Amino acid sequence: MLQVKNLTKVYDNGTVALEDVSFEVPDGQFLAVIGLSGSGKSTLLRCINRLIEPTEGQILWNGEDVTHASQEDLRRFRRRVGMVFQHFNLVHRSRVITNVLAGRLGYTNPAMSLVNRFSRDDTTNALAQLERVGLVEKAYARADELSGGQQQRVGIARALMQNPEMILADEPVASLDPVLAHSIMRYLESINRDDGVTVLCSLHFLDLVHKYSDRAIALNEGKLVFDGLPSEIDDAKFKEIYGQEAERVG
Amino acid sequence: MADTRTDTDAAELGQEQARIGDSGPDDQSRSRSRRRRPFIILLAIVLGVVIYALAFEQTQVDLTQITSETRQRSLANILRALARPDLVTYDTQDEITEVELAIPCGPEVATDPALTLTPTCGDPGDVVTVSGTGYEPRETVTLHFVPDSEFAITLRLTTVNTDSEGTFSTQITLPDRTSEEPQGLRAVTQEPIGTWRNRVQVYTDANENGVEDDPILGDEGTRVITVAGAPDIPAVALLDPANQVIDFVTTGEPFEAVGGTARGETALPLGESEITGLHIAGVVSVDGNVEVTLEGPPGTDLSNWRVAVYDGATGEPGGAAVYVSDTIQLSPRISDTAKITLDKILETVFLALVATTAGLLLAVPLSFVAARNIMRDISITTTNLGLILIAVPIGATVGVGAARGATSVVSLLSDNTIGLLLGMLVSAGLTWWLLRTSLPTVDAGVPTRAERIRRGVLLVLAGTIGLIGLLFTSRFLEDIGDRMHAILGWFGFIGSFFSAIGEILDVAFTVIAALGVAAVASHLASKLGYAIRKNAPRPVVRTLNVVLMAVAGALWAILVGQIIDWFYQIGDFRTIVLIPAIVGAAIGVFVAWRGMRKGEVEIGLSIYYAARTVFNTLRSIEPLVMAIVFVVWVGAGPFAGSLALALHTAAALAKLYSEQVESISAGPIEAVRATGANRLQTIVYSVVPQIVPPYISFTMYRWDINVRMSTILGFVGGGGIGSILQQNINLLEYRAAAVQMLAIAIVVATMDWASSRMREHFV
Repeated sequence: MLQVKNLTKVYDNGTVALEDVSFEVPDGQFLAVIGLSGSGKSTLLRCINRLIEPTEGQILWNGEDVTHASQEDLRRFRRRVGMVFQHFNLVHRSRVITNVLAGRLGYTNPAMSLVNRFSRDDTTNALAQLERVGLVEKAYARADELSGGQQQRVGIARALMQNPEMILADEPVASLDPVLAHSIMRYLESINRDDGVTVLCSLHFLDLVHKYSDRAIALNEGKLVFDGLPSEIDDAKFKEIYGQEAERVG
Repeated sequence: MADTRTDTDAAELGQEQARIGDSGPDDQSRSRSRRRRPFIILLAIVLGVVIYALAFEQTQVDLTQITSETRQRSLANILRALARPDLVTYDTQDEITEVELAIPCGPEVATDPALTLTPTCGDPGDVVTVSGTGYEPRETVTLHFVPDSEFAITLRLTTVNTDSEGTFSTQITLPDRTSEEPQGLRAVTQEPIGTWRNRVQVYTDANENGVEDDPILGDEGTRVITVAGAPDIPAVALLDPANQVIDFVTTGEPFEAVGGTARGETALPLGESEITGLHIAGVVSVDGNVEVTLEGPPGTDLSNWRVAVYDGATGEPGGAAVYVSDTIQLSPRISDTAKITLDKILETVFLALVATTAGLLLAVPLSFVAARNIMRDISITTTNLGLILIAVPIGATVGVGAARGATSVVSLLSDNTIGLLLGMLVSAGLTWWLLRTSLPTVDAGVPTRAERIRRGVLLVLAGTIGLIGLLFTSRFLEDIGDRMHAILGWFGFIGSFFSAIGEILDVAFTVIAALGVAAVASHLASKLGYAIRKNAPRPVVRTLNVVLMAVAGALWAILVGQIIDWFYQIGDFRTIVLIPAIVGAAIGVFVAWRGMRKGEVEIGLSIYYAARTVFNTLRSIEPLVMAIVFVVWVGAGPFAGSLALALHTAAALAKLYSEQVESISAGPIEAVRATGANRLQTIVYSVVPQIVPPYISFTMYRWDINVRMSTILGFVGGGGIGSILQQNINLLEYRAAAVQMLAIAIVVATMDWASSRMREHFV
């Protein structure tokens, strides 16, 4: 279980990105994080695995404090939390399989990965994950030869390599067309349903939220303004989340 | 490889951080600035005139120099010489035209239409006009007076140049030599022998016997050479064209030569040497001369071989070395200048290669230290900083001590090649095995305390044995290199290369040992720091931080004090120990106080700024200036040049590289960090793949620059082609200088082209 307690993030320039955000995510839930651009969704997801250091508050993972973990404990926490990015964040000049194997770095001895050495099991596993996202024939292609949708599938395979208990997905479909968006969301759904992996996914489109998530939280200017079932977002709630001028499109 | 998409993640985060900070325009100040504008422009113009006036004054701009006739003539001479680089040597022969001349008037003289005198006779001191036709255009003609004499002597009068039609006309003053017979006026031109299509063999009477000897040894396989001077016990050395002593025999007892070309060589009794090729077969004293009989396979080319006679009683040279035979050279042929230039331009290119490689090896690790995006996030707790700052100098000192100990142990094996090889192999194997056992490929769970200690001990052991292996390797390379140098002859330079690498490793060993022990010490220190912060209450930690930082500051300041003392030789305890200690402690306390609230110090940025400052300082010193310092240190020659260039290259490349690191996309770094990768893994997996192409490209670019730079390092004694170029310019040998300039132009243009092609390929 993930517990976020009174999380606040103030950037060095004084911008308050998150203000006193608290919520809990039970194991196996598909949680959607919604809100306008700049409302703090990315900051929230990155604070959870401390890609951004929180200013105040606590993150607890199965009762253990992540916010004050040592480098080694943080490494052990991060390797159980996969992350998927809006812009895929693949290393373009590396091969697809190397990108996928990078998901294994948290488990690999640093000295060994210096010389690009992964165990045989890892390589087999990487090919299996690529099989799962349907890209095994591209395993030895360079990452930048792939289309956007394919790159995101590699991103998912990389997260799966971590054997994750939780996946943080930062607007995973915002750079993709609607058809691809559904295909990517279905992968996340299958990981959530079949493997029981907790998913925290920030999303723009409400129809995706309705279709895939068990629960939604909403941020507005860094504050938590909604926490409930996707179906509970009525027009009033919608205006509260997205502002008075906003109109529903999806 | 520009990719704008990947930066958008960061941009979006930036939006969250964005702040509105744009205040409205101030109308009043705008209208004020509009009124001021003409004055500002006027001021700028006046300032501009003054600055350029000063600049002209300082650079001594003087157009009369450019238009002055003598200057233009010198320029024309230089440019003409440069247009005819001294690439080809022609042997020449004299072409003579002679005409009769009567001093005083009286005897009838024969005339010649090619060379005419007006008048054809006169008294001493009279001026006559000499004109010639039918010469090559722009040829140099030397005029000689040929007096009526039984000796073949001539009196050189003057030299003239023919015009574009091959004619000349000049006036000469008749010399004070009268005769009743017609005397002569001779015009001599030097005609080159041979053409490229039809090269001609030219004999040089090298052994000065007045006979044209065939330099190729005939079927009889022997040749007798007579050398002037007859010591009681003659000994003869045979020298090949490279001046190496091939054979050295004596008619008496064996002895060692003390002077001359065979210094230090032992002369063996005649017939005892076992030379299979050309050798000395007989030495006989005849009429105050020594007759030397050489024997060798028929067909041996004797050109440029020499023999030298020694006095077997004293070991001193008994006469000058003489050539065994005449030499035959082809005319025209490649000039010696061209050969030396080729040799030197190769030296130049290799100098640049060595400098670039050495600079590259230094610059790659340093470039990460000087990259803002890598260093920005590195912060360290004040406790750890204090402990590490104290641990590093202690560790380094211990490391140096250990290195000295290890060196003296391994030195016992110094001459034992097999022992060194065994040591090298055994330590390499042991290191590999220890590394494999101490480092599991997968670190699954949390290792137990005992397991951690076991791994730590094994790692330290592996490191130690690895270092000793390095020492064995360096000594082995030095040893094998020396042996190879002795055996390989022509390829002896490969042996020297191994020796040099061995020596470099030898020097590096101490540094690596110091760094290694310092690293272990700082690792232990940070473990200790972590334990302290975890268990001690906060006020205690804070007090401890201040104390630790004060001690660390004082320690480092005293080290700096030692360096200052070395430069200025102060030697005063108060100035070099006490005051630095107090200042350092104060700085330490200040840093601890600054990081008091967070308990952390942003060490990364400090290192970043320090590295940047060092690089920028080093980069601002021209390699030419650095070369002067290195010439003083290691002596004139290409080594000094390569050191200077390497240092500059390291600084310049580190800066260029680090800018590349700064410009890579942040997305992949974030993604790899999120998988739990540590800092090293993050760099290897997300930074390195992104920077390889620009690194290659910049390295090529730098090599290109270094080749250009190394061509002039010779001006200050830094080796390369510059030294002979400068020499030739100073000796006014512009035709020779032209060859070097041509070579530089060709090499630089080629490098330029090649490096741009390769850069296109990699980016």
